Amino acid sequence: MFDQLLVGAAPGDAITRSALMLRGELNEMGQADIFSQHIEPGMHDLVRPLHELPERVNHDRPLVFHASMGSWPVYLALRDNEPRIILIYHNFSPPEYFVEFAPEVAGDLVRGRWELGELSPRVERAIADSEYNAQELRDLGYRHVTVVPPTPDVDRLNRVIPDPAMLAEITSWGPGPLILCVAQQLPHKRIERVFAAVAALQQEHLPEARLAFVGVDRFEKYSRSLRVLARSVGLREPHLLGRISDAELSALYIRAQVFLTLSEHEGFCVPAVEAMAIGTPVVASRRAAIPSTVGDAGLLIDQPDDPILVAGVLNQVLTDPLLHRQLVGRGVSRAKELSATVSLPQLVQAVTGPLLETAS
Amino acid sequence: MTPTDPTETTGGDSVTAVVEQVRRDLAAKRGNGSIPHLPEGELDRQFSAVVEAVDAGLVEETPLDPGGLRGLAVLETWRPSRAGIKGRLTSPFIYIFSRAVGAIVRRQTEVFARRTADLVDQLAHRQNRVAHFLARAHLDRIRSLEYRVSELERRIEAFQTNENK
Repeated sequence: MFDQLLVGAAPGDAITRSALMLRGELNEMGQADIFSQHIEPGMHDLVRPLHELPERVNHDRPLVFHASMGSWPVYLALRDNEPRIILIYHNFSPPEYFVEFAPEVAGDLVRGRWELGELSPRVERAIADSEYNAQELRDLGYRHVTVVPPTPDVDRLNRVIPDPAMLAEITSWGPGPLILCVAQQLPHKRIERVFAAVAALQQEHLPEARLAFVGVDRFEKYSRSLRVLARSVGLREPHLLGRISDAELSALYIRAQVFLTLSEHEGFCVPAVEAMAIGTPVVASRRAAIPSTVGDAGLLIDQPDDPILVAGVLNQVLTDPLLHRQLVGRGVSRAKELSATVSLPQLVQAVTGPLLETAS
Repeated sequence: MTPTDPTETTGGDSVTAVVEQVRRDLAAKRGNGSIPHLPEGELDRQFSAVVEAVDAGLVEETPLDPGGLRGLAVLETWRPSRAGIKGRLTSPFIYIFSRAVGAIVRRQTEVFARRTADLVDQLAHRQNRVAHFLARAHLDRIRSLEYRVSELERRIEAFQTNENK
């Protein structure tokens, strides 16, 4: 059947999960493998290394390539071995945010766009997981792009039992409302906006409010700067958590009164969907693909750079029970709309169906 | 909140109208001066200053902790080995001698050792305060410079606009 190629495979990564779900469906039609350049611990049984790509069994069929990051070895492997490609574009982060903190990543991202342009003649089908991403592909020269919603496993956290130790720890943080932000510590996620907004909330409205931030540390300079900023804006008692288990994350979503993301750039925003699925109201920046993901189920802010405005919106959600209930209700139903049970068959159809549209 | 109909500009959706209402209230408060205006890009400038300071190694250095030095000021008495017949026979006498020497040495060095530990303690305290002050001053300096640059840019823009007229 159709094999897939990722740049990186990691436990908990949304694109890896999407590729695994797609393989689950493709496997019913025949053997389907996933290859990846970077394979994090815990994934070696599920994913094969990139150097085994030339030996793949399904060489007569196009390779499904999940593009999320530039990579010279992946580009060479595709150029030298794969005359037919089905592209699933998950979005590249804007390189300008990485220049200060990780210039090499900025270089990868710039080159990644060039690589996508170079590969376009081999792409038989181009699939984007949002209209926003489709537009980016069109800007790169792809003429016909199919939009298929992402395949988030929205009920993933509803299926695990919340970790009792984490629940007890959250209780020990005090009775104040808990604001949760879940995002990798990457510059374009603009986590500094979240810190400043919650500090303003504590200073202007609710001194007891607490921030729990869950995010893997990617670039030391950015992470250190965030910690210093938290002190300089007067953010009181932030709970900064790195990689945690699904059970711990579930406990945080359940106890959080608001999920907050003020990211500048998102191809989809899986954490917002997980928050909605579990019944946590979402407050988010009106940026990139976030509005199309959240729809009218969350409060979207046009000026996320204004911490006092964001604090005012948070205060409304936290002190108006009717608004809180409305957001919970809308969020749960929006998450159902985005569920993989709806979108996964569409993705399978887009990958395996007859060639209707030709990219580039 | 100000008693206006927030759904006027949001197509009647009371949820999305909340943001608009908060924005109006904030604008009103900023208009009457009860909340200061936020210059455009201020958060970016502040964070950029923080990144500069972190880069310069002025902040996020672990504060010096001389706490362990005070214990070192009290010297342990040397205890001879009690291994073997010779050790068992001679160690009690040597130990008495060692304790006597230890008492004399301790008396002679105690004032010096405690004074040294106190001085290191004070130096570490001053160093930590200086580092903290420098970090704050550096941050404030960068912020004020960036603010002046943005002010100048605004004046240049205004000047160019007038020129074009």
